[in-house]
Amino acid sequence: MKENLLPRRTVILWQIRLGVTGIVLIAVLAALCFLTRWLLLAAALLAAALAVLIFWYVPALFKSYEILFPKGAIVIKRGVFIKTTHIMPFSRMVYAQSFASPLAKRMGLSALTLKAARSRILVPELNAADVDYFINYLAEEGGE
Amino acid sequence: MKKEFRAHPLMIISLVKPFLFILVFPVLKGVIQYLIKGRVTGVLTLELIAFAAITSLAALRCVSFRLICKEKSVIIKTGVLLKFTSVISISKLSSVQAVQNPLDAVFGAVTYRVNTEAGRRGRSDFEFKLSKKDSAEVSKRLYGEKNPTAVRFSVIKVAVMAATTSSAVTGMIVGVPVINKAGNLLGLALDEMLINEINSVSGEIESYFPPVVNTVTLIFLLAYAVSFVYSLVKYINFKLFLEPDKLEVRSGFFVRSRTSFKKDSVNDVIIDQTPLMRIFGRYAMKVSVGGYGTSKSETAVIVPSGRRGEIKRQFSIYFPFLAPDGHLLHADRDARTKNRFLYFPNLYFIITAISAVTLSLIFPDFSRLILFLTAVAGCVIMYYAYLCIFEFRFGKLRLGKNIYAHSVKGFSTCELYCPSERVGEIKLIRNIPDRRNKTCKAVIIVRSESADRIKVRHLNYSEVRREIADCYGIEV
Repeated sequence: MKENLLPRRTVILWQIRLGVTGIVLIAVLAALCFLTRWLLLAAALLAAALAVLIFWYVPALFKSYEILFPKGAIVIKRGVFIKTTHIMPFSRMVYAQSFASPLAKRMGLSALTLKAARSRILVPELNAADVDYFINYLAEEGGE
Repeated sequence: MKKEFRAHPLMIISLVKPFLFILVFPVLKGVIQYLIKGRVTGVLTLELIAFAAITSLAALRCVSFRLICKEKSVIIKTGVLLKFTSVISISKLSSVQAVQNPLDAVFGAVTYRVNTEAGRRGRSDFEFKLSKKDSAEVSKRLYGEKNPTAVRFSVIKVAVMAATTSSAVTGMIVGVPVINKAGNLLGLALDEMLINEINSVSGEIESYFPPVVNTVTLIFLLAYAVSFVYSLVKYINFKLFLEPDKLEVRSGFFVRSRTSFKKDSVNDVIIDQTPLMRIFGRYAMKVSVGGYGTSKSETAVIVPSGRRGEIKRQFSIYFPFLAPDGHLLHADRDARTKNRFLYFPNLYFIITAISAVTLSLIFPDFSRLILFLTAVAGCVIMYYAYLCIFEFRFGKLRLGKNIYAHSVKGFSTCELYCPSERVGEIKLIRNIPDRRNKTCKAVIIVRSESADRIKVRHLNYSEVRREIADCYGIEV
């Protein structure tokens, strides 16, 4: 397999997801501010935290991702504060599962989960074509 | 050549099933009320909308399901909004299971389960409904079609297995939710009615012990009976279909189950003997397959009941590649080691006796109940001591190309066979007496979801280290 990097669209997808979830939460807090004014302060704090997450943390996490395909294995390095490296030899992999939300599908992206006995590795959204290539490769080779 | 299969429409019902009590029944109740009283409440309208939405979503999920069988792999596509595509190599499949309940039988469907080692414990990786014809076709494509040899077991053998493996605890686990759910559905306090009935029956039994003992004994007997009936119904019609590289187990009466797996998917084979089986001189042979089944364990029964010679003969026919090799390791057969095996039974016996005497002196009014509890504890400790003697006489371990261990597991005796590469972990435990006597306890943990394990005690530490070095090339 070739070495792979996440496409730029992935970070936009993560920012949209986080943004939508955050805005819904802020809207709920703002709507409930008639209960207590403190909820407005909570909404403001949440908005600030969300801005930091969207504009600093998510791009930093995206940059930290490194996906390598050395011979017969997959290596994923990631993390901003805590660096983690996942290594899975293909011989231990039991099956692969791709999944795509409607938004990811629209952006031509698809995520991949590689499952081994008692463990799993999540490969974040890649180009749908790359995922299809990987899935087809497994289907044809039968994981041998 | 690739072939595509679609889900059976009955899958819609199985997808809606989790909402049975909170949505389907209230809607049915509301519809009946509307027919009788001629009006619909606002809540019912809301429930009807939710019911229609969930049923439509289930229908869409059923329609979007695809199972594609290729030469070397299986592809499963699911999901409406979130699309999932899973690719499983056929060589990595642990087992497939086709279960047919009475409703499935009426509509010609089966619940098909695909299991791998990657699944969560107690849950199949993939579960869906297929038509009976399609399920046979899928099984044929996955495992090929050869002429299997059918082995049938008599109802008596299955009944012996059901009787000897049933327990009151299992009966309670199975029975209590059924009673609760049936009570809720009928609007009756079934549990209270049952307890009152048991109380009145136990009150009529005259014995030396207080009435609470009779009540508890009756509850345990009833729970045991429930467990027995459950096991019998589950394993009745038990048949084993043998092919050179595949095994298929069929069982069940109301719910018919068919489980297939390749012999090389077997993690380990266990020949065990429960306390009741010991009385009848019977053994059962089971195999552990990664990711198998939806029950709490992943063990498939291969031979429900048989004498030792019969079971050993069948083991050598079904699993000749698991024949044990390597040097035999066992505890020293001397009086000192025997006393070490009996250390804990002696300790427990002394603690029980002291506790019984103390409690009788503090609570003289409860002396009959304390006597009963002490007698029960005494019997359990005596059986434990007997098992310790068994372990002293027969406990052994062989580490070679295949691993063989014979020991005690809970209150059952157990023989475990597995290939050395299927062992996940070997644990050597040494406490102070072990270090003084240069012995250790060796725990063999098999790489599987339920992680079958067996412990062989008081083995010579240096011999075990040497065998591990010979077998795995690991210096301990």
